[in-house]
Amino acid sequence: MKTNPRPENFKSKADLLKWFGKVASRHNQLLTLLGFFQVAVTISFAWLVATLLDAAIFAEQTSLPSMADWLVLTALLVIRPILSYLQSWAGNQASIKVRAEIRRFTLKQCFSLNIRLFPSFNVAELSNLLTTEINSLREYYSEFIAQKRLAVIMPIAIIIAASTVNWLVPLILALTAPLIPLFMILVGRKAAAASQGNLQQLNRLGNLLADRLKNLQPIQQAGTVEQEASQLYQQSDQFRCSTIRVLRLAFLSGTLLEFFSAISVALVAVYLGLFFLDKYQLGSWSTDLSLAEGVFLLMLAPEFYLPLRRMGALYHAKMDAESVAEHLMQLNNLVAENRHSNHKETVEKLQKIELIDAQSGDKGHLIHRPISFSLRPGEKLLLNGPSGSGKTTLLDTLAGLHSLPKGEIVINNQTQRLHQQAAWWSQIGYMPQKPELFFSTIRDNLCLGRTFSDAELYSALTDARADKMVRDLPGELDYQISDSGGYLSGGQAQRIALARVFLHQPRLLLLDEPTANLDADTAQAFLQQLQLFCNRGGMVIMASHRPADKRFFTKEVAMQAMRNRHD
Amino acid sequence: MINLKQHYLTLLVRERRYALLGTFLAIVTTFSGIALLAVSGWFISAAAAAGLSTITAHTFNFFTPGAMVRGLSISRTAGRYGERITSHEATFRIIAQLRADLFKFVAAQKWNEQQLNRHQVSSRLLQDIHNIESIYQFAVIPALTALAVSIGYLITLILVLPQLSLMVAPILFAVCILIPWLYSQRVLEPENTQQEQQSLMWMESSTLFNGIRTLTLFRQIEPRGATLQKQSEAMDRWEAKTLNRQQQVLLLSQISLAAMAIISFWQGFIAFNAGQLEGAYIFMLLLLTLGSAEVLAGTCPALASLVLGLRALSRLEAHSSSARQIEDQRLFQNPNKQEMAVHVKQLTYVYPQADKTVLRKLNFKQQGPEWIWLKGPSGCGKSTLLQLLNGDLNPTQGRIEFDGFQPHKVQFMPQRIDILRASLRDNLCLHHPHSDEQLWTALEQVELASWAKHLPHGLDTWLGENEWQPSGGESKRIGLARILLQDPNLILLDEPTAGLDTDLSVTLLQRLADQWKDKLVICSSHECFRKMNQNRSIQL
Repeated sequence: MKTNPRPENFKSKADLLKWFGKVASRHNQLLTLLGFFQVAVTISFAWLVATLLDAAIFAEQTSLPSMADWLVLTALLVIRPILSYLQSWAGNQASIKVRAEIRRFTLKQCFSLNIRLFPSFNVAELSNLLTTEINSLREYYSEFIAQKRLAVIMPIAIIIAASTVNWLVPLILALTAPLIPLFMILVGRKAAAASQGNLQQLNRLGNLLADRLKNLQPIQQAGTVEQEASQLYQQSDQFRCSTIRVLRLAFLSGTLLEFFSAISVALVAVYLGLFFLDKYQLGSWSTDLSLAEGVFLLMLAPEFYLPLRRMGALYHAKMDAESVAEHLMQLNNLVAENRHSNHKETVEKLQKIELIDAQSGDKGHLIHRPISFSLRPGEKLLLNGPSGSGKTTLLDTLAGLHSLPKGEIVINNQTQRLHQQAAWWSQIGYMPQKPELFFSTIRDNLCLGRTFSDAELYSALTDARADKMVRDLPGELDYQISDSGGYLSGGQAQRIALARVFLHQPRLLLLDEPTANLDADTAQAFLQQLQLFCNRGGMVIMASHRPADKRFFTKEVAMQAMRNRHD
Repeated sequence: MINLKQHYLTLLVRERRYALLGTFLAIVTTFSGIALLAVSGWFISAAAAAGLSTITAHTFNFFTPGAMVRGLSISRTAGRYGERITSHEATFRIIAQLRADLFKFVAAQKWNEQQLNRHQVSSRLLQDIHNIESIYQFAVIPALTALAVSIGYLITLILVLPQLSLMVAPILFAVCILIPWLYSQRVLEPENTQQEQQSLMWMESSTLFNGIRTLTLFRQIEPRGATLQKQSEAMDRWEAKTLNRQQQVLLLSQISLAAMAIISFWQGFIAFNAGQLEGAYIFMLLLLTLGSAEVLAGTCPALASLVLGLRALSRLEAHSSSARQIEDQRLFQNPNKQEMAVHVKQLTYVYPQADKTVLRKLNFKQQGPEWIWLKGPSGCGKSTLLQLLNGDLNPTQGRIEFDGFQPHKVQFMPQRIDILRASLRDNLCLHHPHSDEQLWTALEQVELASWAKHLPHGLDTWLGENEWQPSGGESKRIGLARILLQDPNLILLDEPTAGLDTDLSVTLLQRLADQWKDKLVICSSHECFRKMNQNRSIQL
């Protein structure tokens, strides 16, 4: 049941939302069918009530409703909520499918971008997008779309049904109907213009409390909780004033709907009443109008606007969906800007790595001046340079997480593309600046999906000088690491991460400031351990700005940032 | 302990002008809508009956019902607009006060003692606050409107057809009280689970993106993503199931309302047949019932909102009373004494959850100004000691005594610097009055002045989430600038220069040492102290 292939670029937010909606096409068809049933039941109910009343109080030989009439009437009244129950069920199923697809899409885009996601997005934004925001699409796909469909079917069906008995009433309805979207657009524009001006302010004020709760510490420390609270109050109060101004306009569209809905009932009632009193004979196909026809028309009048009003109540779902779509568009555009081939290459067993005039960064924005070096087994290279000179980006590039925009990487005398090559990843060990430990046991953190014996784990821990520390922990290898390291200090976490890298016996170690969080003695011991690794034929490329480390290296590359961002 | 429920009620009473007006207009609007239909129904059937003969058609007073219909449609429209404006006004007024009060309430508690996940705590809190904010608009107004509608409906029935009111009363009871109660149970039950699951998913995603380098290199990113995808889908299905169960209760409510409509229609015919009721009233009764039923169908969600809001209030209350309300156990003696001193006696700290002793019987004493380095291998308890000195944690055993200053003269710079979503100025001042000159001096001292000058709006540039995000090193220096501005006597610094270049670190630390030469500074750092003029150090 595959729909048409996903376009590379969505034209608009609405386009994106619509495209994903197609994933649940079968449920959507069911929803349309249910919509038709709802319309049919509504019209039949009005018709049945009309004929029963007519027969009982208006006809020449009055007759009370029969048992069969009552049964049908009850059935119609009960079927109506059952249909809306089914509608909600089908809507939820559709919504589950769509959200799963959107999540799959989001993850796929994120993975293809990998670290290119940053700094356009941050971790909190991405986590919000993947969880809270995509979850918030529930109502849009389960209810709003179904209601929108009903808001089209119902008025048309009612105009057709009403026109079978009279032409003026459907005309009244048909004339007011197009005014509603027109007014909504006009008022919506006004409201949008009014809110656009202070949109950023509104956005800031609306999220202020959340922000202050997350970042409570400095306020508590400064002892100014009272002042912050009164500022929060003032800002919320300002927020109230500016929001109410926008709402005054925004509510006009809802009021307009209410107005037409009320006035159409009033108009139809007065028109019918006067017609019955023989004040005029306008609007009917015949010169006469039965009570049945009158009741029928009056009962249909409020139903005409009901789906539209319900849709209005779900408007927030549409707003939420649009803001999610906005973020998905941003993500999609970022992917479009960063397209790369997924061609798999074989990478030989590393004997020598050479960089020739390499510059990392983006094609349009190279971060550092060209660097060249070559490295053989047993050699240790220091990347030296101030913050912002591109050490981390270069290491990311060497690890195959970025492509190299300029220059060459030569492996064993052969120019090689390392970007996204799994064959390269099995040969290197990269330790990023943050140790990147996960909320799990130490064992899981070391293995990361691979299997090793305890002896192997401890041997790696010994190499990283972390064996004693782990043995001291309650549960040893089964010690649970909690929120961002739990009771592990920065240095301890770093050593666990290093042991993890040692486990697959890489040919090349890429280390980003590994000693920054270590005290001098531990740092010294760590370097000794690296020496051992090199003695066994390993190569090391390490970024550091700790001068004490310098003596240790056999080679040094000074990194320099590009002076002018535009050259 | 504050009684939050009572506090909410006080707020509602304080804003009674708008709150009552909003409720009143909501009821007027609803009544007008129902009456509009009922009167129209009566009017056309009565007119049709009158129209049968020319004489009655001539004498039929159509002005009154015509005017009523017009009036009702206007009051319904105007009422709706007024209701929405006033109820929002009232809601915003209540929320403004509520936010300030709840913030004070939450900020009065120590959250770092609990070692809980920040995201989980804050999202739980925000959800609770959101539920409390919804009480007026989504619970009080619809519930009172439904109540007014049922009473109005019953009274009309007593006037028109008394025996019907007796038949309908039990259904009204079920629809307004029994079924909504059932519904609220079905909403409450999964509320906690849902909240927890969502937090869990958030944490999973955040772990995924935080560790994206490692996970990619170890080819774990795809499987992790697939697991996340599966868990989210399972959560969606579970959510749909609970929603479905709620919908079943709503279905029950709507079927009861359908029964009410059938009964009133049927009784109308019977009374008409018995000559008790005019024919025109049958249609009126039916439309009245259908109109009321539509309003009463909203009772279930209203009661659920109320129950959720009340539960959120209780939860916040319970938190304040049950959470180990840590009383500051530090001793501040002779605040006016000239010479300041710190005395740590037999200090022991055991992490409650991990049962791991971090500090054992630590003793030290310092009199007069000094810069003290905390030395020791990573994990030896440097941060813990600083948190104990700051009163964030309470010692398991032993005591901490201070001489010569008051609690607010102790300032702590944690490893992680929180940046508020506010202007740079507000981030530095934190509500203390400082002149721009003082701010610039402080920024210069931490080598941030040129950075700040290049910000788009200087001191008025907004920092924080979705705004200008300072880097790790810039955040650290903002943390230092905050402390410089607050001019404390005892300064506790936890890794103040981690992540900064060595040269810059040394420059900064030397400048700070100079600035704070008459203060007591306790600093954990492992690298730079070798380069500094040797001060006192404590080996942990």
